[in-house]
Amino acid sequence: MTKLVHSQGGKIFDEYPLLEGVVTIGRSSENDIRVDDITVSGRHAMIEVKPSEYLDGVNDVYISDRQSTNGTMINGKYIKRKLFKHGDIAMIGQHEFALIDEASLGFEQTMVYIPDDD
Amino acid sequence: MSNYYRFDVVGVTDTGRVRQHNEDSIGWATDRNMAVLADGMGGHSAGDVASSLAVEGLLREYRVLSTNDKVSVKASIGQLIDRINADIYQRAHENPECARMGTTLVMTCLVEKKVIVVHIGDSRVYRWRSGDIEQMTEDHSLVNQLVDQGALSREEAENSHYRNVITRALGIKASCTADIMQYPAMTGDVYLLCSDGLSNKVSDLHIRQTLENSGENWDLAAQTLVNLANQAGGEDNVSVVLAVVTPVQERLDD
Repeated sequence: MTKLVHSQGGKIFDEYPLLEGVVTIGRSSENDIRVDDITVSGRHAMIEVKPSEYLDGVNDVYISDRQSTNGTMINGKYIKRKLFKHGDIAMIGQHEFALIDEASLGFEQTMVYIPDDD
Repeated sequence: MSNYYRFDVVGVTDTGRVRQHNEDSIGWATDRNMAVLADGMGGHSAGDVASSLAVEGLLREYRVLSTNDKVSVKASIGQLIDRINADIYQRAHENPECARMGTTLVMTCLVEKKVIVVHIGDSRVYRWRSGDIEQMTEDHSLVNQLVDQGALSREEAENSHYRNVITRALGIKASCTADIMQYPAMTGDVYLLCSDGLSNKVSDLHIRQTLENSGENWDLAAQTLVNLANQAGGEDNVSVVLAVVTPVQERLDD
């Protein structure tokens, strides 16, 4: 289960399960996740969830900034588009969005992916 | 008349600090100048079965090769690896508890004046020569593949959930391709075989320094390297084999 946890100042507002597809975040009503805060742009950020082509049951998640006024940070660094991984925290205005990917706890073990064209 | 070489070999394998089982296997035969290391994977500690099959199979079947053989050294080794692969693959299909088991492999052997290095997976071979260390094998890893394709930066890939995914192993498919390379042997060369339990926790610099500071006490060096990996967390099994190129007396023709 992949999910986004929305918090601010240590207080959790909401949790959003992430399914395959695109999720938009911003202040205006057209967004999937609306954040009513002046530090958040109308169209602030976008999250893409794609099933991995290498591992079953695993999603690759990317987060992009949509040319927002205050930018989007991952773990304290401004990004344009970046792989968003379990434990990463995105800063959108004054709001934090943490990615929780329970499946990634199993990734300490070595696994094999062998392309079919071998 | 020409000088030949032999391998002095030491090795250590350790479960590490976190895992319940050791799924690494190591072995060597100084009479045939070969050393092997394998890091197994698979549920229910079937990795142990896979890596043991690889090491025991090679110890049993490897025979000393010669450049005078009808079949090239590379082809002979390739055929041997194919047989080992088939053995593990078959066992994985016969036993439900061994399903999907596989193993990496690194092997080094001396053939006349050449050192042969064989690898499949993300276990590694380094060579320590004249105080410098060089990684001789390139991991068959998804990280390397994604970086080579330009799909991810190295930093992104190494921190992603693909960080421990390998793209080649023994026992996973009916046929396999191991990399087989050869290098000229030089007295004093140390070929260091290790599982990723070492290379993920101990930097190349620290590996080199440990070998430097060992005063050629190779047993001590191998144990020190394992200790360093455990001190750094020891989340994985860790194994090290050191094969030292040593000259033998001049041979008279038989």
